[in-house]
Amino acid sequence: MKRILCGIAVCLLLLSVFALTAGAANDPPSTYVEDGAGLFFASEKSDLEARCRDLSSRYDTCCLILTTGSLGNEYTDLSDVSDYEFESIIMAYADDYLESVIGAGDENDGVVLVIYVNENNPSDRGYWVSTQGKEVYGFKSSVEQIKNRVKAKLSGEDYGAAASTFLDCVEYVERDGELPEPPKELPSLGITVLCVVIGFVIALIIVLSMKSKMKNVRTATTADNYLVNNSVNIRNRNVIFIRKDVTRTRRESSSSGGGGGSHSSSSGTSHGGGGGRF
Amino acid sequence: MAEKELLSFKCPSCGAPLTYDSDSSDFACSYCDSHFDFETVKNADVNAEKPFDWGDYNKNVSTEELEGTVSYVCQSCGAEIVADATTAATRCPYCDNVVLMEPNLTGFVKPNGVIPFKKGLADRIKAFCKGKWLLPKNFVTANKIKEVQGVYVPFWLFDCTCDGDATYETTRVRHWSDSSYNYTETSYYYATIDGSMSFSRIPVDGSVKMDDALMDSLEPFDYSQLVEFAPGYLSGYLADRFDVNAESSLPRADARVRQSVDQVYRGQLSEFSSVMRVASNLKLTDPAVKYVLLPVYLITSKYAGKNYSFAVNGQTGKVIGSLPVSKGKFWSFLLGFSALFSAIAYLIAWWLQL
Repeated sequence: MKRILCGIAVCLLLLSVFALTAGAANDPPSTYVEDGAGLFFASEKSDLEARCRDLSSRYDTCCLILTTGSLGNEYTDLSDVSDYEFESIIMAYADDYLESVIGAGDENDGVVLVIYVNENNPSDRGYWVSTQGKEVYGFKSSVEQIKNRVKAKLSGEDYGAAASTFLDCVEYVERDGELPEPPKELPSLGITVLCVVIGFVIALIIVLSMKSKMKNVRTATTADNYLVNNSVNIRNRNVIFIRKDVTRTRRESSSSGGGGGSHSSSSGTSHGGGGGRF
Repeated sequence: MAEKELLSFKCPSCGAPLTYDSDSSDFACSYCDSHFDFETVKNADVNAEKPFDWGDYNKNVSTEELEGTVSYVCQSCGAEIVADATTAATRCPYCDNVVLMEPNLTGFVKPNGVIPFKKGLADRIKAFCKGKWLLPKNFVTANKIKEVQGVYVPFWLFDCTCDGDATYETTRVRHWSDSSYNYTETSYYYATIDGSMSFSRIPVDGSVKMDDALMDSLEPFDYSQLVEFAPGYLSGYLADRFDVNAESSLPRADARVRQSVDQVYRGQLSEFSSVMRVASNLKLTDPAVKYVLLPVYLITSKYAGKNYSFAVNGQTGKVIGSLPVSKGKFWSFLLGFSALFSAIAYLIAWWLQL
């Protein structure tokens, strides 16, 4: 009997340990919006916090927003690094942050918007959207649109609106699987001028074609019409080979960069997303 | 072993490159197996295409002057016009001015043949102008079409057989790739085609006043309807007396024969990617010429101080001409189409959210 009781006690102990361990990874974070760079007004931050919490709860995910003035002590100013290098740094930072909150591993789901504005050089700035777990595939087809919409707001330094736009996008993706078509905007002045140029060129081609039909006088260069039927007699046809040249050119490699795919963080967890400077 | 040096001379026979053979001290063509000394090679200009020797081609042309006709000289443009003796007054078909009735005593050489006019073909001009949106308003009026002049235009018809060979430098190109490179292989060949072909009745107009391109464009005429000339065919029509003789017309026939032979020979080399003629050795046999009158309706109309001429093949009805362009209509269409297509491009840009 004692053995049975001891066995049950050990089992309960192990179960409680597993439960505690698992709970540590899936515990909701205490705060969903970290405004380290101080880009939000207090009211904005509280609204964003409430929305992140609500989204995370309703869609069984973890929706986070982080603003920061630094991407690590070793990076004091990233304004001079290449876009590719910058994207690698901010991507790793966003992935690490997401994993630090929801835990590493593909079984943990979450999405984060990281906004970086260098505290010493405001022109050194960028953003990244990182996804993990089921969100890697959920957001895969929508990342480019999210980037475009968020970047449009960030470029105007309207950080609250950018974060809000990000949450709108998360809501659409979680609910509908994709973003709705954006309302169509009128073409820019440059595109309008291009349209006028294209219209003029097409019109010019048509009118010149009409003009060319005004004249059908052509000098005859051959006497083909006067070749006597069956009079062509080819007596001999000799072809001799002279030489052969072979040239070769190296084929272009088809690899190219860009967001929208998935990658692995330093922990081995798969992430998706995209971003860049703004 | 004989030392051979490649020199930049070409074979006078076939156009292929020559090699210098130091053993025999002459130039050898490895292609046609000919041998030449230095003077021959130096003086040979294989790329120059000398005119054909047409020989005694004009033995059939009559020198008999025709009776019952009179010819007039237009005091405005100098054209010589022939009509039957009953013609009272007419307009010059070239410049549209009234011809002064001063008989010129020069005669009218009897042609070898004539293709008579067919009636009702002048109306084709109206159909030709239809749908030409850039044509100035009222440029071709009904009255103007009624005044269309039927003119027998003098033509020389050349017959010949062209015989000989031509040499071409040809290439064949092949492309392929492996994982690292794209390859292009170009093979060079010399090809010689030897043959002959005959031409019959190549027309060249014998009138200085008649635009050569306009007459070329009226071709072809159906020579099966060529009949022996009789003065009665001039009744109601004018005729132009030839002022370009057969000898002066030869270069135009010559060029057309050469071009046609070249096309036929190139057709034998259709498997090659490029074909470039390097030499030809052609000659004519059985040359002959005939002097005929061919029917052409002419209309000349003035617009903005410039004469515009039309011609209708008086046998087949084919209409040829250069119509004037109304500047007002040109710009109206240009701006209208520009607005239309700019709007379409703008809508597409908006739809695609460019």
